[in-house]
Amino acid sequence: MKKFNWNNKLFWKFISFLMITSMLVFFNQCVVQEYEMGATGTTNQDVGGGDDYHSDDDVVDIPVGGSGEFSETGATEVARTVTSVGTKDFEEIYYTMSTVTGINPADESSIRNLYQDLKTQLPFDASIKIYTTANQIAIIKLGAEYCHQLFNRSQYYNNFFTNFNIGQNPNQVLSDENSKQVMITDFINKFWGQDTQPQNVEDVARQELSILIDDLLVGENMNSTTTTRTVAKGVCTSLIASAPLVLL
Amino acid sequence: MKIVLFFSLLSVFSFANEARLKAWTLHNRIAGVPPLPSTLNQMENLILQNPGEMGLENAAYLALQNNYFYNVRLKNWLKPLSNEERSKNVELNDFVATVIGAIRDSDNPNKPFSRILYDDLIYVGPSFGNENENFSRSNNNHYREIENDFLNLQNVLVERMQSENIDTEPNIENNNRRDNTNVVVNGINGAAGVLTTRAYGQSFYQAGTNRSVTRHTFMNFLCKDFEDMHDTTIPDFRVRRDVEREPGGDSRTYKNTCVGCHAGQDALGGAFAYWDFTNNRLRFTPGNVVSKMNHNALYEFGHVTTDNSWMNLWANGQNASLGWRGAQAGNGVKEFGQLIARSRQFARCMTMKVFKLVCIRPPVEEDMPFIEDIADDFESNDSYNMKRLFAKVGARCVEEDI
Repeated sequence: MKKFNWNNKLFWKFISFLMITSMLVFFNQCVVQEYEMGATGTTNQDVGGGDDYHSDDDVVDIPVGGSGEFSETGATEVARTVTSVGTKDFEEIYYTMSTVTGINPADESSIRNLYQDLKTQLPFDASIKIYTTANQIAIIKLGAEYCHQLFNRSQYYNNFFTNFNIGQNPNQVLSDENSKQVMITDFINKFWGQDTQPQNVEDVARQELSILIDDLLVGENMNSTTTTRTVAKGVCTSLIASAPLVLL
Repeated sequence: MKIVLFFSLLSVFSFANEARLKAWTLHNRIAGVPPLPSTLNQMENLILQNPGEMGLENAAYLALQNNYFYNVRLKNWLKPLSNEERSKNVELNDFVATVIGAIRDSDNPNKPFSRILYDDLIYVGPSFGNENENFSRSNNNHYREIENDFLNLQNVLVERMQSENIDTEPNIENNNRRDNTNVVVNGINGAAGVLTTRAYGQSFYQAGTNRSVTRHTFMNFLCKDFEDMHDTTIPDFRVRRDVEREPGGDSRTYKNTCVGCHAGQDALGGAFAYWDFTNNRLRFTPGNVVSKMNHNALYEFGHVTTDNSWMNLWANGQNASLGWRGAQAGNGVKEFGQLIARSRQFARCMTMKVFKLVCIRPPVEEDMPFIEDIADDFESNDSYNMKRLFAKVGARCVEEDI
């Protein structure tokens, strides 16, 4: 039998074409689920009833839900598209961060004050269509303050981790991939919920966070427990403003 | 054999993962915050024990026990209903607290949610031991304090009657309606749940002509603005004198446009004839029609309000689709509230509002059979159980989306 030539250009062109085509097809499937508004909630209603004002033959469309709150309006098709993806509002984000970090904002004036400053910049509505960069920046700022307090006070960080030992220095607990993954696992379980994300999403996150830890350790004192907390603060900040915590 | 085992394990793992993601999403959508690890595990178990919507519904009841469901999710959902601007950037008030309390108690068969529109009730917080922060009919300090202190609304709200002196307030003078300008609300034609709360009064009874309260009640509890009700075919004998019959010198404008809303709303608006919001408090003056009901007599042959009688002229014609039940005429706010609460549209509207909150999108045409089914369930046996409504709608949406 003739041996297949792996250097055959035609073969690779065919493979490339196939991959691009598949990518385009899958890309088209990979969009937010859309719903046709159509004649939203209309019912055919007989308006007869035998009174003096209407004939028995009249049938008109009566909107079931009016008052404007159930219709998506806008100049473009995208604006009128109904999606089932939404963001939490300002207060839900505030208390989501409180829930996952274990910090009660009533005990931390710096968090409360920052929240009051950022309140109008945080998302006000669940609609993903009015979500802006400014919203995301405000979420990151608020998250950064929560993470700062979390790893600034021993009563918080000593109770945060399940398996990772925050009381040891990077040489002891962040020196290899396995030990880094212990920290990452604790964060993911606390912030995203254990096993709630698809495996491929979690795998990518783990890789990225591992790289982040390496970057944060560059030039730092590997024998200081302060460095461990600084690294934890960085990982915390990158996760606390992520989609699983912000989206509904 | 190894391959079969591998895929079997993979499928079990995927299923478990999916159940946890559903639990996570359901909790976030109901309570607005993620579940604690122990709650997540409990919800996952409930979902796995009964795959499908039944398990999700059981899990949803766990999420409904979370304090943030009341303190954040419900509160911010209800605030826009209490003010003209429909903004959530307002303080907690007696309207919002009363609806939250009524939702909390709606799983009690004797306390259906629909009573918020006609019963002599109000939900108040604890006494703060400080006159300025206790319940008062003249300011919102009490509710502002509850919100600022982030008291657990699930625990602290207590049901009281609007017609009684509420003992969280030591200052009896400030609380007593038995004075020169305020007549005790007797619970028959007076207090009508959230429709006679102070926040509702401040927003919708203040100045104007008291039409705003009818409009916002339709928007809040029937999901209908007056434009949706527009029907020029019904008689206009209850349209008041302040509505010009020839706007711009053309009577066709009145006949083809104005009358479409005014014929129906002015016929209902008589219910509020004895109510006004002045000097920071809602006033009830039985037998005395407030002057604003009859001012600006632009058309002298228009309807003059002489009592608090009302009639529902929208019961026939195109607006019969709202499913009106019971008496279509009556007196006062309480009976008006009963008209709204007993309609099919009330059950439908509450279902749609919950759907939009929990599913993060408005219902579309294909959802309407589901909306009707759930509305049937909601009003069956006059149960009006809002917790059950949240659980059922939440289960459906999460099952559909994940």
